[in-house]
Amino acid sequence: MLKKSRKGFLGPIGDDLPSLIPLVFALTIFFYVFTFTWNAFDEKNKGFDDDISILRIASVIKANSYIPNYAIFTERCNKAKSFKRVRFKAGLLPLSVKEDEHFEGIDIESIGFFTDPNSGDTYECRNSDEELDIKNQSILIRFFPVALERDYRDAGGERHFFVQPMLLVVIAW
Amino acid sequence: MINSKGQAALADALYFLLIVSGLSTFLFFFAVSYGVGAKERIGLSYRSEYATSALKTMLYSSTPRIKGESLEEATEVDFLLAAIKEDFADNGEFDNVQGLIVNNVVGVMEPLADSFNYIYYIYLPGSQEFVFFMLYASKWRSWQRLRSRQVDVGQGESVVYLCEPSSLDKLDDLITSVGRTYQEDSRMQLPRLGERRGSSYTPVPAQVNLTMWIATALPETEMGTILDDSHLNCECLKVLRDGTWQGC
Repeated sequence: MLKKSRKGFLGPIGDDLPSLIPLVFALTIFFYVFTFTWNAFDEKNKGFDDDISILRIASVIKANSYIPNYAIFTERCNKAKSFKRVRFKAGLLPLSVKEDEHFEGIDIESIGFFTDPNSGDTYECRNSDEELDIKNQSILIRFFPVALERDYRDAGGERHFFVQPMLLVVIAW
Repeated sequence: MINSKGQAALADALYFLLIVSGLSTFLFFFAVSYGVGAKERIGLSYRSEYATSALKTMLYSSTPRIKGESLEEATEVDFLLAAIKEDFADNGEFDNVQGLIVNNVVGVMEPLADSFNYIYYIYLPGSQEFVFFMLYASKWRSWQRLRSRQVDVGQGESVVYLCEPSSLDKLDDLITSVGRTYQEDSRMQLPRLGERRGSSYTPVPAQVNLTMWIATALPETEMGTILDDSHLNCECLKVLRDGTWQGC
């Protein structure tokens, strides 16, 4: 009788074979979702860190939104270079406050930052000599208006200053 | 009994599958929703910081004393804020600097103007009146139904309005219907000449505000549009059409 009832019985492992299918399926789902979650978590955290870094860099360079001269700009630039988390280049572009002139936009591939025609100083700051590759790198851009104090000399050679609205552009990658 | 063992193992495995499925669903929703709030906070921080910087830049900026001169070649320059105070001092109104303020605000906000609308005003809390109020709004000309949604298919225009709302609460309909706003306030004192005996001027406390929001159609109200006399009481100053500013 006992022998008859064991017909087709493959032993304890064979008995558990059908249950292994949902077990393996469950484990596959779990590890797939776990890996997906881990990657998403990691990627989003990296994105937030980059976002915060670029805001900090911009915050250091613009400070109270007033740049009194090139020396101060360079000083702030050197401070901003201590942020090693991202590679960045930053600089000033002129903003127009005349009706018949418009802001020309930001062309990140061939951006040319403002150069003071009197002193020849270029308001550019970067922590890497490497050029950005817009096809293969993820790029973050932030920009803020700032006021730049500039010198000029009148017809009599007397020195004056004026404050011009500029746009601080920070590109990080 | 021997056959029942297999069934028990299968039932256990199915329970395990059920629990793991629940856990996986939780993990999946966690992964998808993780950081939504943080991302929003970072965006809010960036736009608020932009509004703060814009307001400071406008107030720090210089302007030529002689109309039409450029800053680089001006005979004499002054701070825009000084020109505002000087114009206000004689009669408590802005007679000459409105165009300067508008150009300055539009220039400073231009990098964001494709996607943002904004208001900029100077308000006197003491007398509860606006001495300057401008609205920059996007205007859509042509709408088409596409996949059951109204889509803008025309080339848009941007309009600058000068407004005279009768009180601060007239802004409520605008602010509550344009979605999330990013704003910055600053306080200053405007001098008023000859109102106090023994003093050359009286300081008048004023509030400068810049509020911006993602460009959207201006709200309609029961009384008409938000630009009507019953609300902001606006008049069109100029229109940006095909990249050029034109009269209305």
